[in-house]
This record gives sequence, C-alpha cells and structure tokens, in this order.
Amino acid sequence: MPITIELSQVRKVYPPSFTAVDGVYLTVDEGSFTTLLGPSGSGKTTTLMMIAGFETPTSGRILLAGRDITNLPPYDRNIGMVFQNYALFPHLTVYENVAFPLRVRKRSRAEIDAAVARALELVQLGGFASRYPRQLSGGQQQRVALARAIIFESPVLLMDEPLGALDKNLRHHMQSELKRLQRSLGVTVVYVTHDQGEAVSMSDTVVVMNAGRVVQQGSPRDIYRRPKTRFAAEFLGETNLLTIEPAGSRGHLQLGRIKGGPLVPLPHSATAQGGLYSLRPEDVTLARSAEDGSFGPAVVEEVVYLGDALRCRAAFPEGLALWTKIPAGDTSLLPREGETVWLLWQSENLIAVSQN
Amino acid sequence: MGRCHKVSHVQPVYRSFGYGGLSAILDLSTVLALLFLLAPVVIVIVISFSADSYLQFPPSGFSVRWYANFFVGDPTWVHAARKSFVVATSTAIIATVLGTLVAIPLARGGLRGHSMIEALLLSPLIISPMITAVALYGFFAGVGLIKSIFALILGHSILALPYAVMNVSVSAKALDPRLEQAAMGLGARPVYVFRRVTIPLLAPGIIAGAFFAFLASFDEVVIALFLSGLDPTLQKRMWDDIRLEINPTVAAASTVLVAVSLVAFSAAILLQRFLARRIAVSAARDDS
Repeated sequence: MPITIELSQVRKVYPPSFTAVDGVYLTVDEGSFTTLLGPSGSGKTTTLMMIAGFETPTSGRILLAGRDITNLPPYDRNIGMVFQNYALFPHLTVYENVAFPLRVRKRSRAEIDAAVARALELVQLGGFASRYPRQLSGGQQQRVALARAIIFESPVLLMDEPLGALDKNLRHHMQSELKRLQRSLGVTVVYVTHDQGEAVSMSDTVVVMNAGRVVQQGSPRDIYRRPKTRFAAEFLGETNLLTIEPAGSRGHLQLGRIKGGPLVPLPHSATAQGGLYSLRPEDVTLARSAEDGSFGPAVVEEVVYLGDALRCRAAFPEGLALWTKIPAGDTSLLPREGETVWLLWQSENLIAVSQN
Repeated sequence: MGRCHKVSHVQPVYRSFGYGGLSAILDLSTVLALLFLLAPVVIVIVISFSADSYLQFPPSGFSVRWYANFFVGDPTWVHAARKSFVVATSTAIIATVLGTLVAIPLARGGLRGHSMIEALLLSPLIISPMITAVALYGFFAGVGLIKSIFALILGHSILALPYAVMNVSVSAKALDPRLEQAAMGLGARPVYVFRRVTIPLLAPGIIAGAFFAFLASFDEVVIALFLSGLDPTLQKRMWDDIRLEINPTVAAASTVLVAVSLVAFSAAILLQRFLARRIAVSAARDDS
C-alpha cells in the first residue's frame, strides 16, 4: 500500500530544553485510519501539529505523498483538520463555516452551494445551514467541524481528540460514524487520542507514543496481543506484569519462577527466558480445585463487578497477586472473597516485554 | 433571619448585607453618589433653556433662544462643533487602527518586553495632558504646524491611543488562537485570516476602543487650547466664551455635548451587543 505520510527522525525541541518529540519515525499508509495513542505529554499532539504545519520540526523531515512539506506553511498543505474544541468560527453560520475552505479557493457560488449541501447531508446536518455554532449541541458542532474539514476533498484528515468533549453514548455513535465516513471517502486519517478503547476500536494502525518517542506501531490486535514494551502492555488495556527468573528445563519445556509466585513453563517463543512478562487478565481462568496445568492454591482477595465482567484478584501464598477477568455470564465460576482457587493460563499467553 | 440562612447556601456573602439597617445606608449612599454625579448635568441642561442673558440657576424663565444662538445666531459655534467632530473622528480612526495593530501582538505576548511596551502605551493616561500639550506645542511651533488641524489630531491621537489599546487587548486576549490556525489549515493565507477571522472577532473591542478614542478627543480641552489656534474646537470655543462673555449659549453647547456622548455611547453599546452575541458564547462552550 502506498505511503501517504512519512516522518523521519522528527524532533521538536521547545527552548530552553523541553523535547516534546524526540526522533519520531512514522509511516501512514494511504487510506488507512492511523491513531497516535499516548498519555498527555507523549508528543502525539505536537506530532500532529507538525503534520498540519502549525509547528515546525526542530530537525527531521515530513513527506506528504513523497513531497517534502517540512517547511511548507499550513495553508499550502491542503490537509483537513478537526480540532479538539472544533474551532468553529463563532461569527459565521454553519453554512459559512463549511463554505470557508471553498471561498478561500475562490470557487463559484453554485459550486459552493452544492458542495456545502452535500457535506452537510453527509454529516446529517441538512437543516442547520443558517444556524450559528453556539446554537448547536457539542455533537452537532463536531459534525460541522468534520464537514468543514472534508469539503475541500483533502486526501488527508487530521483529528486531535475530536470526541473528547462528548458524553459516552454520543462518543460511541460518533466513532462508528467517523469510521463509516472515512471508509466511504477513502480518506487517510491521522487521529490523536489518549483513549485506548477509541484507538483499538477505530484504527487500522495504532502508534503508541510515550515521552516523545514511538513505542510501538502496529494493528490494534497486534499491539494488544503482542506488546513489545511494558508501557505498551500497560497503556493498551490492563495487564499483569510478572518478573520471571529462569529455572532450568523439564523435557523440552523451559521453566521459570515468577517472582513471588509459582514455577511455570515458559512460552516456546521466548528467546531470553528471564525478564518481564505481560499476562492479560482475560487469559487467566479460575478453577475450584487443582487441575492439570493449574497453579495454586491462591486466595481470592478482591472481586470487582464490572457489569459485563468480573475482575478478581487472587494471591499466591508467596505474595504474588494476579488479576483475572471473567465474563459475568459464566455464573458457575463466580468467585467469592476469601475462597481458595487455582489459576490456569496458556504459557503462550505470557508475552515477554522490555522494561522501557 | 431564618430565611437568610437558607439563601446564604447559594449566595454566601452578598445576601447577608441585604438585611437590617446596613442595607438602607448602602441604598442611600448609592442614591447620593448618583445625584452627585448627575447634578452638574441636570443644572447645565436646565440653564441651557434659560430666558436670562447670563448664567444663573435657577433661571427666572425658560426659552430656546440660546439653542437658536448656538445653531443659527452665531455661526462660530456650529463651525467649532464641526471641527471637533472632524478631529474626534480622525483621532478615533488613527488611534483605533494603530491601537489594534499594537494590541494583537501585545495580547499574545509575542513582543519582546511586552509589559514594558504596554506600560509605555498606557502612559498618556497617567501623564498630565498639560505635559503632552507643552511638548507638542514646542515641537509643532518648531516645524510651523502650530495652527494645523493635523497637529491637533496627532495630539489627540496620543491621548486616545491607550483607550484603543486597552479595549482591543481585552478582545485580543479572549481570542482563541486555534481559530486562526483552523482558518490557515483550511487554506487561508495570513491576510485573509486577518480580514475574515481576526478582525471580525475583535470587532467588539475595536468598537469600544473607537468610541472611547472619539470621546477622548471630543471632550478634550487642554491640548485644544495649545494647538487649535484661531479656529477653535467646540471645547475651546466654550472656554473662550466663559472667559469673555458669559451667556447661556455655553450651557446649550454643553447640552449638545452630553447628547453627542449619549448617542455615541448608545450606538457603541448596540453595535457591540449585536456582535458580541455571536462571539461570547464560544468561550462559554469551551468550559463545558
């Protein structure tokens, strides 16, 4: 798939010495939905602002469809952008807001009329053309911002936490609408969020960022199931982090001892046997008695009801406590606090992660 | 007092003043302060309708003869009023344009040493206009422009500039820079952004600034004394009148001044309200 956006060794240093983005290399495939995911201060928004042209990299290059745009002003980039607070022009009507990019481009009146009507229809705001932004709800303002960003048929759309201000139901609704729109327009989207659920559910590619660097880039499933670092494992979903020391082998099985816990077989894929491992709570199941391959006994210390699932913490006598996540529908397995249980997991679900 | 307690949950401090004897004292002093401020205006308006040939309050009878004298009888009055209007309008334009161009980078802290520059720009408010007047007199006498209307407009622009800067700054500080970024991202070049986004959003501050700049000039007498020469402004004409021949035309002129101020004030408020209604809400929305 052709690459639309490419960042190479991009750094942004704010004087005197704050490094917001620290040598980012990044590729965005044409037509993909790529999300920059990270906590605040991870450099994701600064990276987006450099792609948009509102910030200039201190060093490094940014390519758009093979062309160097590193020092191109934003008005020459032809990139659509949706801001976190929407940045609608308060003195202009919905119609004038959406028409703005076409007026700048000196299109004919008839052409603008038709394009605005089409864009507003696309975001389901057909009857709102003569309203002012203040007369709209947050969700409607969001759609106006979207219509304004797509009307000039930019091949690239940038979004900076566009759903952050919406309530949860509306956010879920807008997530699927954004996705539908992106597919039907075939536009390349670079999306910034700190919400890992949003990143996982919408993206083709997730770029996990931390402290100004790209930690891992891959499909949501890839990053969730195969995190490479402790940060990626912890930021995307919940996990148990285990420190395992090598403990010889039994037959063809490599063994390791979890710090504060039992002796366990290591996955075949593990190259360095010792070190840090991630084990997702939903990969751990409970049993009331010792079974083949189970670890225990352990005592249930805490049960948290989540609605669709139960989260339960069980501690081994040596001190290690593990979280498990059980679907709430499975009533046969409902643990109670103080109960003695055995834990089971596939050794292949132990994922070696690096400390950083 | 039980009622007072319930209310104080919501409005803790202010309401507790609303009961007992203190409230009556506060109400009375408010009324007195208003009377104190309005009394001169009321007295002048009453005298302007006097039938007497000299300034006297209360007048022995009423007439409009002094208005007739102002508008028709003595052409120097209308002439002076016209000059004041031209000077004040020119001053408002110069001070507002200059004030706007300075206030924008100032409000964004984009200028090196911006707090120093701000203090300097506001200094005409603190320095006595007499000092400005003497300095300008000395300067314009040197270049032979002492009786020119341009000297007067320039002098008034110096006095009016702080009002323009202060009012535009308020709007400029409230302006979300992301709106200008958004416009640029949508393809607008800086000049287009300035014309179509920045200026419309600063309009309430610009209008208020222009209004105050206009009045700063229209009501100004010290610089006008030095620089308006033989062709006086309305204020200077009134000054001359009081010194030479005391008749109630000066009261009629004062009343006209009050009327002009009121009209300008109302126009500015109406225009501002019309524009602010569109803009103010965007700030509130960000908080939600």
